[in-house]
Amino acid sequence: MNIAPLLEIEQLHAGVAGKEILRGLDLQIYPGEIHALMGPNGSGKSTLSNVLMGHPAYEVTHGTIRFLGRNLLELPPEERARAGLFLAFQYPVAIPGVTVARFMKAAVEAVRGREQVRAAALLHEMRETARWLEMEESFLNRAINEGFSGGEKKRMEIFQMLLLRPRLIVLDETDSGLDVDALKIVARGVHRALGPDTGVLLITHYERILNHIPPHKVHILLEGRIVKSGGPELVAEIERRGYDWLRESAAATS
Amino acid sequence: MAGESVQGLELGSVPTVNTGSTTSAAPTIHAPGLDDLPLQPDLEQWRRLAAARANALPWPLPTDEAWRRTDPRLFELDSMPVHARLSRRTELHEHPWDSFFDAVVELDGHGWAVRDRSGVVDPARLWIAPLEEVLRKDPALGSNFTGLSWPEVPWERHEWTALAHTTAALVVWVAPAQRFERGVFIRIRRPEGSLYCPWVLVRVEHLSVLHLVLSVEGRGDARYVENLWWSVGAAGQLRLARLQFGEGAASMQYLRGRVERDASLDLVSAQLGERAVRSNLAVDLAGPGAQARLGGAALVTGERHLDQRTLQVHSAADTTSDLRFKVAVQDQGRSVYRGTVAALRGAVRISGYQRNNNLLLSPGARADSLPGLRIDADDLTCTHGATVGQIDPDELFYLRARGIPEAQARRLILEGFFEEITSRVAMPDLREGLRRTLEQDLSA
Ligand SMILES: Nc1ncnc2c1ncn2[C@@H]1O[C@H](COP(=O)(O)OP(=O)(O)OP(=O)(O)O)[C@@H](O)[C@H]1O
Ligand SMILES: [Mg+2]
Repeated sequence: MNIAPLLEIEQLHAGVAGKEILRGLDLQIYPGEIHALMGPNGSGKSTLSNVLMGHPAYEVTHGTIRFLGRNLLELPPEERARAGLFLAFQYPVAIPGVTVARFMKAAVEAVRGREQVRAAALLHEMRETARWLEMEESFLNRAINEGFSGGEKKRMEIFQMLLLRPRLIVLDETDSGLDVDALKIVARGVHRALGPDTGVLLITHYERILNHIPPHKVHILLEGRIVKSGGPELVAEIERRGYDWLRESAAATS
Repeated sequence: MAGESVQGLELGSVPTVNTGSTTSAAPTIHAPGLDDLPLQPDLEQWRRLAAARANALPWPLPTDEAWRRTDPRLFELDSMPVHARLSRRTELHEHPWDSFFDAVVELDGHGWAVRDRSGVVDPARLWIAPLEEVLRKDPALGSNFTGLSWPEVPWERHEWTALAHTTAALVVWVAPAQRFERGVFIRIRRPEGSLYCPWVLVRVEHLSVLHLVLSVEGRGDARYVENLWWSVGAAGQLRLARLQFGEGAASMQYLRGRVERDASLDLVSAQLGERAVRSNLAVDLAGPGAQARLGGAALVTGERHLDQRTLQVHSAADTTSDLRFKVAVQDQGRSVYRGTVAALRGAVRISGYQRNNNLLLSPGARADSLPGLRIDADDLTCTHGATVGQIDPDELFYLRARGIPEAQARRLILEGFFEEITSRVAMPDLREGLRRTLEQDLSA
């Protein structure tokens, strides 16, 4: 059987503010796969997630990204979302005066198609999803992320992910700053979104979340390049040894 | 009386914080106000005196400090004929909002009319009548409107001119201990091609509640000068929404009002139209415990020019004012905001707040903001602030990353920007109406 990859990144060079951060990154994610991406602070993980989602401040200077067979780099962010890409932001921003309900109605209508959405049914779905994530229903009437605690913001990202039903989920340190219970809820949310056609790119610093969402593959990003890929055993090795040993071997191979 | 204590204030247009020092030696331009020209039953005589006041003042020059950012030639009043005095008529146009109100007042090019929808319009309860008639029957009523004078908002020639040439002068008077939550809707359909000067005087007697909505619309060029005065008696409440629509005219608005002991004013002002607007708002917290909440939402598109001035005067102790004016400027639009919070001597334990936020939506858009405090009292909290900025690209990206197209995302952010103000409109249908109008204007 010949399954096409969800995401195919080839020799990606990208940067921001005139500074090259990703320097020849390759990655392939197939349907049903969970990939973990680890790497020291500043190695380019969020740069990759921003480039994937199409943040206008980031510039791709070389390489290709294909998503579900389409050239992702040609699409504006909104079309990437509509094609099934979802990024849970490392630092979700607040939008004053725009309620979660209003925002998600606009988002769901855009992603699923306006004809597909009935307001009453959607409201019911939002309430049900909020309850399921153990969030107060009153969150729906609050301005997006305004005054939300760190953990509440992360949970709000998962809430959005569940409503938008994406094909590829990029979680940029969604586990950071979560208490034990919140981490379980987030993991439960990811499992609910998973299916045979779905892929996950899980960016993290910690083994903890990987115990809840076991990855098929683990990649180590260092100075804008994936310097090592392996199975879950790599996580334990990073926990034990840090990244320095990889720096040396990366320097030796480049 | 406010008119006296204000003498000690320092004049000057640069925002200053002045704590404690005596400033009575500062040069004072005393603009005669209503203190020395009280309303009188012989209104024709009063108008002649007002005209003389107007003629004694010069027209402003572009070099005058108060007009440096707003070209006074936009507001040349004598370029258009004075509109004939309106007489009363009986028929009224229909408007979708009419059903929300107890009473509807309409002014247009041909006359003015009142519709009493709930059977409450009555000189003993809710009196809506021409100023002449009111002053003839109750000469003392005019005294509610003396003292509305402060150095920060000197009486201008335009203002006196409008009073001298009033198109219609109407009083809305609420008897003590009455509640008109549905209230009064004053709809002004200004005609084209003339100098049109409505004058509305609102008095809410003690313990009464009035909800008042005033909206202005019109097409084509005109000179529009509105005087809107109010006075809220002890423990009374005035909820006032003023909605400026219209296209093409030069519009001047002089809003002056007083809030007495334990009374409150809740104002929402929406500036959504006309070619050039200069709006002046001055509120006196004249009695202990008085409160004012002042919200402004403005959208300036095309080549329009909007100049807003506000003054919150705390002349009594334990008073509170909270002003938030939000302005979005698009295309080649231009916005000027100048505000002052003044705490007069003896106004202790007051809290004054003033904020002006400007959002620039196009590279050619411009906004100037000059917030200020003038403080002659101790033991108080006064805060003011201003921002001029653009839509945060990260906010825009966040919405787009959820599938929302860029134009719609910008609209949502703008709606959110105004939400702080629009959410304060008490009437749900009106609130939705205002949101929809903003949205339509934004997508245009
Ligand atoms: N807008 C920007 N301007 C300048 N430098 C930037 C900008 N955004 C990111 N960088 C730099 O790019 C590098 C990679 O940043 P990135 O956020 O991708 O790291 P990260 O791997 O996600 O780190 P962390 O684990 O701390 O989240 C850093 O050195 C960062 O300072
Ligand atoms: Mg990061």
